[in-house]
Amino acid sequence: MTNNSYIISPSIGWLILAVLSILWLGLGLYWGRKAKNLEGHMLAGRNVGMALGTATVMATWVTSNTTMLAPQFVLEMGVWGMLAYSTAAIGLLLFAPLAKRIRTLMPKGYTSGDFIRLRYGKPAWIVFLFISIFYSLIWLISMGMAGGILMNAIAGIPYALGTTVIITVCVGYTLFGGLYAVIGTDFIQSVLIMIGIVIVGFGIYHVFNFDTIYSDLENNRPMLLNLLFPAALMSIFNNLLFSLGEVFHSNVWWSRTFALRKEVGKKAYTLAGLAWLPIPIAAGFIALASDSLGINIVRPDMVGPLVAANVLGPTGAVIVFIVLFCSLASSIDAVLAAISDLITQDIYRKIFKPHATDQELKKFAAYIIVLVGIVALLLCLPRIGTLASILFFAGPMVGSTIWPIATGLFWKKANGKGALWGMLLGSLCGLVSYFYLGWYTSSLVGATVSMLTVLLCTYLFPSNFDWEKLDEPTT
Amino acid sequence: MLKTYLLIAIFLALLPYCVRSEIPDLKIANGTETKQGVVKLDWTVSGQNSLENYELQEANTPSFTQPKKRYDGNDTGTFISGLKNGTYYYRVRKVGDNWSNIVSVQIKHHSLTLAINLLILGAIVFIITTALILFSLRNQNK
Repeated sequence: MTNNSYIISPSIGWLILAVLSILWLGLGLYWGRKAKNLEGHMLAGRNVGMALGTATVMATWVTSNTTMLAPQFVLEMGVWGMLAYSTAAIGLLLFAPLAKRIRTLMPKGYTSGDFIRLRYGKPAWIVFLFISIFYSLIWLISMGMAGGILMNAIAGIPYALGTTVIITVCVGYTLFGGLYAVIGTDFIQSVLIMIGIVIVGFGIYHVFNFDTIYSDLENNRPMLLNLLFPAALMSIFNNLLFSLGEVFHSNVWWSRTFALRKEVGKKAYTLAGLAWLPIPIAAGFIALASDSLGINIVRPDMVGPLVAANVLGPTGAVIVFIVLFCSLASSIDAVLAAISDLITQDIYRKIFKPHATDQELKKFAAYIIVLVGIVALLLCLPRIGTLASILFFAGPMVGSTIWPIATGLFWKKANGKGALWGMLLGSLCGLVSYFYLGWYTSSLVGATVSMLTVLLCTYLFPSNFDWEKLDEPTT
Repeated sequence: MLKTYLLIAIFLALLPYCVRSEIPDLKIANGTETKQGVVKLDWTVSGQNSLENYELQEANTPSFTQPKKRYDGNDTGTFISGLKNGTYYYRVRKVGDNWSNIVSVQIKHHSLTLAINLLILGAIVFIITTALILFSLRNQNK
C-alpha cells in the first residue's frame, strides 16, 4: 500500500523542514521572553488585538482538517462533501457571540473546564474534562499523522520521521513561548497559508478543464455527482454539528477568547469564520480532478496535497509543503497549549495544589506539553485509519457538548443533571451510530440526544443559577 | 534414477511458490461490503520492485467479460470512490504477466429515506441551536 511517485526529492523536503523548524523554534524562544507570569504564558496577557486575534483563530481552524480532510470529504462524498465541510465556518460564526458572553461572565477565567465546574458542578466537570482531553488528543493524533503522511507522499520522507519532526518542533516552541509564541507564529503561518492557497488556486484554475472533470467523474465515480447520495446527505449536518461542538467546548477556542481583548473576540471570530469559508471549498474542489489528471490516490486523505503538488510541479509542491506544514503547526501548537492549560488549571491546580505558585504551574504546564507530545507521537506511529475515521471517532462526544455549553451560558434554569446526562447519553448513542451507521452520522446523533436530554432535565429540574458565581477570584 | 525423481519432486514442489511470487496478492482494505460507495485496494508481490508497472481491472462479473482499466502505474494500492449499488470485481497484474486473485466488493448504499430523515433531523437541531443563541442574545441586550 504505497505511493511510489514522490514529487520533490527527500533532500529538498528535509531542507524545507529544517528552515521552517529553525524559524518556529527561534520565534518561540524570542516571544517566550514576553511571558513574565502565568497569565502571560497561558493567555498572552489577555491583551491580544484584532489582527493577531483574527489570524490566530483562522490559522488554527485551517488545520490538516481543512487542507487534507476537506479534499478527502469531496473524494468520498462528492459535491455535497464540499458543502458539508464548508459548514464548519458556522462553528466560528456562532461562537462569536458566545465569545463576548464568556468574556463578560468570566473576566478572570482560564479554561472551558473552569466554566463547566462553576456552572454545573463536579460530576459534569469530570465527564467534560474526559471528553475535552480525549478530543484534543484525537485532534493532535490526526494532525501528527497528517504531517507524516504529507511529508512521505510529497518528499518521500519516512512517515515516522516526518511525524516525529513536526510534533517535536511544535512541542519545542510551545514550551518556550507559551500562547505568545502560538499566536505570533499563527499570524505568520496564516499569512503564508493565504499566499500559498492563492498561488495554488490560480495555478490549478489554469490547468483544469471542467468538461473533462465532469465526464471523467460521470464515468468513474458517478455517485460523487449524485445529489441523492445517501451517505453524503447524512454528512452535511453531521459535519456542521461536529464543528459547532469542536469550537463550543474546546479549550483551544476558550483560551483565545480569554486572551483576546474584551471588545475584540466577537469581531475576530466572525471575521475568521468568513475568511476561512472559501478555503475548504477551494481545497475540496481539486479532489474531483484526480481522475482527469491521471493521479492515483492510495490514501483518500492525501488527495488534496497530491493533486495540488502534481499539477503545479516541483515548485508548486514546495509551496504546498510549506502551506501544509504551517497549517499543521498552527493547529498542533494550539492544541498542545490548550490541553496543557486544561490539565494544569483544572486538574493540578484545582484538585492537587490549590496554592501552587505561578512558577510551579508554569513548570507543570511545560511537563504536560512534553508528555502530551510524547503520547500523541506514540499513538501516531501505528497509523491506524484515515484522518476522517480517526477525527470523527471523537464526534459523538464533541456533539454532545453543544447544548450543555450553549444553555449554560444563557439559561439560568440549565442544570448539572442535564449537562451530565446530555454528555453521557449523547456520547453513548453517537458511538453506537458511529459503528452501525457510519462516522458521518455520529455527531448528529450525539448532538440530538444531548439536546433532548438537556431540554428534558431543564424542564424537570430547573435550577436558578447565580451568574456571579462564574466570576471566580484567582488564587 | 532415484536422484532424477527426487530432483523432479523438489522442482514440482517449489514451482507453485516460484510462480506465485510473480503474481500480486490483491486485498480489499476496507471490507467486502460498504455503504459509502468506496473501495480501498492494496496488492503485494514478494521481491517487489518499486519500478514495476501494474494494471488494475474492474468488472461487474467474475469472468471479466467487459473489464474496465482502473489503474495503470507503479503504486501498490488505489482508492476508488463514488461507486453505485452493485457488486464489483477486481484483479491486478504486473503488465504482461498473469492476473492476480479476484476480489469482490458489494456496494449497498444506505436507504434514501434514512438519509433524508437524518438530514431533516440535523437541520432541526441546527435551527433550534441557532435560535437558542440568537434569542438569548436578544434577551441579554434588552
